[in-house]
Amino acid sequence: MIGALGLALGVVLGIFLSPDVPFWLEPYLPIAVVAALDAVFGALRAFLDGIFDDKVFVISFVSNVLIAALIVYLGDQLGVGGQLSTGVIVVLGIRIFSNVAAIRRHLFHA
Amino acid sequence: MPEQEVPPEPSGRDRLIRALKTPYSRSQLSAAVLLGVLGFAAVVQVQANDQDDQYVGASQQDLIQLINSQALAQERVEDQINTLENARDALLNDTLASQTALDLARSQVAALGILTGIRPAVGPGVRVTVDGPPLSVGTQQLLTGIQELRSAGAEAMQINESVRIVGNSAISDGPGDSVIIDGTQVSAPFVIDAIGDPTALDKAVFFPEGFAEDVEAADGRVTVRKLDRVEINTTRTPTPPQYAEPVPEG
Amino acid sequence: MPESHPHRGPVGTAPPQASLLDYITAHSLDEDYAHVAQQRALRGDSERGRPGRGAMAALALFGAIVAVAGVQTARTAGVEAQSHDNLVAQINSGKDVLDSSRERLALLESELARARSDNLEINVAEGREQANERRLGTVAGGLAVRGPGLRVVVDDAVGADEDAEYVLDKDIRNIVNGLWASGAEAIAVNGQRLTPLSAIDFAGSHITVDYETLAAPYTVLAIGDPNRMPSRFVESTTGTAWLNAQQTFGLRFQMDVDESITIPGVSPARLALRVATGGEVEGAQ
Repeated sequence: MIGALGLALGVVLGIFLSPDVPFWLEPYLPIAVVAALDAVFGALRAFLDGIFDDKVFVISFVSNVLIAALIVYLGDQLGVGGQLSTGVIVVLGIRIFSNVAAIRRHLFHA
Repeated sequence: MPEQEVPPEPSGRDRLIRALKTPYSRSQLSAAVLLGVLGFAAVVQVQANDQDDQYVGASQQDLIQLINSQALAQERVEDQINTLENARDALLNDTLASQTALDLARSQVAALGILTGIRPAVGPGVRVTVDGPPLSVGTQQLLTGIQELRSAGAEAMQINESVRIVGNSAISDGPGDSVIIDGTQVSAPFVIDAIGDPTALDKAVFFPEGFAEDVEAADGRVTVRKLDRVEINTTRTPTPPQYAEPVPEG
Repeated sequence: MPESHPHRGPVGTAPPQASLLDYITAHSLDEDYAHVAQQRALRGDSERGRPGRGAMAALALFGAIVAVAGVQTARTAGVEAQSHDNLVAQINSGKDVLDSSRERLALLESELARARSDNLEINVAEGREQANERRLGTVAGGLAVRGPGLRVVVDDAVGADEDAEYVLDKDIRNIVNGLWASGAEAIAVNGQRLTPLSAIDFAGSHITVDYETLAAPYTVLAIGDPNRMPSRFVESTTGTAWLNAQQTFGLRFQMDVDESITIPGVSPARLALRVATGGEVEGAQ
């Protein structure tokens, strides 16, 4: 319940404030979203599995976002930004799919 | 315990055939709906791909590139247009100038044609009839008459409608009372057709101590008819000069 | 309950020689969760981790990030789409302009070809007419000419007194007519070229040719066959008439052959016609 509330609050805040994203931040936004998404689905699956922990969620969320952004930044500096970000997205994507599959199994016993 | 017969595992193919044979089951229905949605989406995507905006996937960079190369091509075409227009205009101008020169040359040639006797001529003038006893009209009289008509502005002349008088026409005595003009024999009565100002020509013929007086002094008769239209139809072909050559313009 | 799968081990483990995909799929859930749960079980803490304030904050942050990213994309998408459309419109109109320019170019090329052939035609015709003009001009007197021929000089009788002892227009006419009869191709009297419009006359007390007053002695130039002209002149009617008069009245007379005689041409204005025009042309030139 609190979780859903927090999510709704965040979305509303984001829409109302609608801050202008500074130019230098723009390329990292998509990857941050995907990394955060991975952490959220991981947390949801852990919750359904019964092994959820608050601290672990926060840490994994923050570290995912930061590390993903760091990797992309490094890649841009080294000149392989496109390739690195592709790799990161692929891995995150696979993890998301896999976690969603597990969640689905919990929810629908499918 | 009697062994229960384990039915053999149906192979994939058998399963497919069985599925195709049973037309209606819940699993088949839901599968059908989902496949339908998939088919629909695929077709829509393919059609959307085909459509007009071929630039859907193009990045800003690509589009700007296209615009640049278009501008270059446009420039080149406009250069070519310019060049061709200039060439065409130069030719048109030259043609115009040449046309003027051509018209001028044509009119000169036309006038020269009449003067040299190549072409028939027409215009106002006089018809001079000369007749009389043998000694009254001959080479001398005709020479005088022609010279007088020329000094009065005769532009074309013929005698007895059989010989054209031109610049190098020569008159000589012929057999009997006839005269030979440029190889053609003519006899009295002499009819001279001349194109020019009728009044001036008439006056010249009857000038004191002139042609008519000479003829009438020897009992001849000269009559002049002024006409609005004199037709001179005899022509001659001039022989090309063999000794005289044009002096190159220096 | 760890699941088992015929082709994989329980979740969280991967059989040896697993591919990268298998590994990622197997380890998709942070091991930290399992680790912490284990620790809790060891401690005897039966409370299952529930989403607390930290989770709420993280979720709020997540929501905010998603919302901001969404808004951002929507905004730039609008602008990007517009600029994309603008560029596309520019390209399309540019294409139209290019096409019509190319059409114009093709048209111009055919115009140029036609202009070239017209020009060529005109120049050829001009050349032809000018050649005609030269040819006829030589005969009619518009062009200066040069060639072999006769030089005839006549003068009044010495101590001339009565009319007949002077060279008259009649005499010049006879000489000129005699020369034409002898085959002269061009004749000039005291430098005056004779044309079809020329008249040899007498005005006051002077001979005039084309109204130009001349004075004795009179030089008559004739271009033609220098070998045959003298004899033919003597045989001609008016040539004979002149010679008779010359001998009777003592008029002076000199005829010489000249290898190169130049006779000037007259200006085109002197050959202009005022009233005569061409009749029907019998046979094209």
